[in-house]
Amino acid sequence: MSKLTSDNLESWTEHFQKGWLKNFVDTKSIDWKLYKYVRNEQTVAGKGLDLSKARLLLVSSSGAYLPSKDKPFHAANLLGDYTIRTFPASTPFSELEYAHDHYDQTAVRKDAQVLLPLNHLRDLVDKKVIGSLSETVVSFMGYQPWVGRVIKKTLPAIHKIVQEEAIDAVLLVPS
Amino acid sequence: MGLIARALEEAGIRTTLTSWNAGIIRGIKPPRATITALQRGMTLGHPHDEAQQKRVLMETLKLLELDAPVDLVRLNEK
Repeated sequence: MSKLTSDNLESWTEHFQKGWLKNFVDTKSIDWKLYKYVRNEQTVAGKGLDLSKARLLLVSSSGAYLPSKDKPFHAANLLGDYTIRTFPASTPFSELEYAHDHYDQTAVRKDAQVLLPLNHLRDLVDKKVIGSLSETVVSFMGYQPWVGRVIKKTLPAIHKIVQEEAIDAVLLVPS
Repeated sequence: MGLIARALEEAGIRTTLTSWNAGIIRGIKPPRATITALQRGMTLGHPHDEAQQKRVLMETLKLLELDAPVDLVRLNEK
């Protein structure tokens, strides 16, 4: 599943390990001048679908989690947190918390739908624009500088939910 | 998010995303994406601006009906 995730993963990893990561290990500090974001050459192909028949999963990198069920993400870890949390799509927004130190949470705490549009998605299901909404929402903390760990840890965890919930389509909303 | 979208698409799951970060998304090349000029932390729109949130959401979801790769769709939302 990782072949096309990043088509220059080997060179990216070498650059990351010798630069950003080595500096972190040596100094316990972050130097973003040493970091480069992934740039792919290849695109990924996939057939379109009929949204009105699709089962949709929302994946959010807001750091949202359900404190009554799960522990928070390790938001202070400068190496990132590559685990996921799940919570029912029917969860009242007032029951959610956010563990993510890398964005201003003012907006999402005023109105969760700026990152978690669950009421809007339910409306679209009611109007038959979307076939159905997954019973589960997937969340992670979108501070993940180590691409190899995203591929080895975050991706398989999300893919497992996709399979378990018989998902046709995924809406990804970064924070 | 773009990397996860690519991997899921490769596994046969259709994906779409919206982002305020055009630079990173252009580099990653996800299968389908909309780009806005909204701010970090309010990816779908301003708090309690349901009309804007619904516009961004619907424009992003509509892309699922198209075969990927789809050229990045820039939305006039800020």
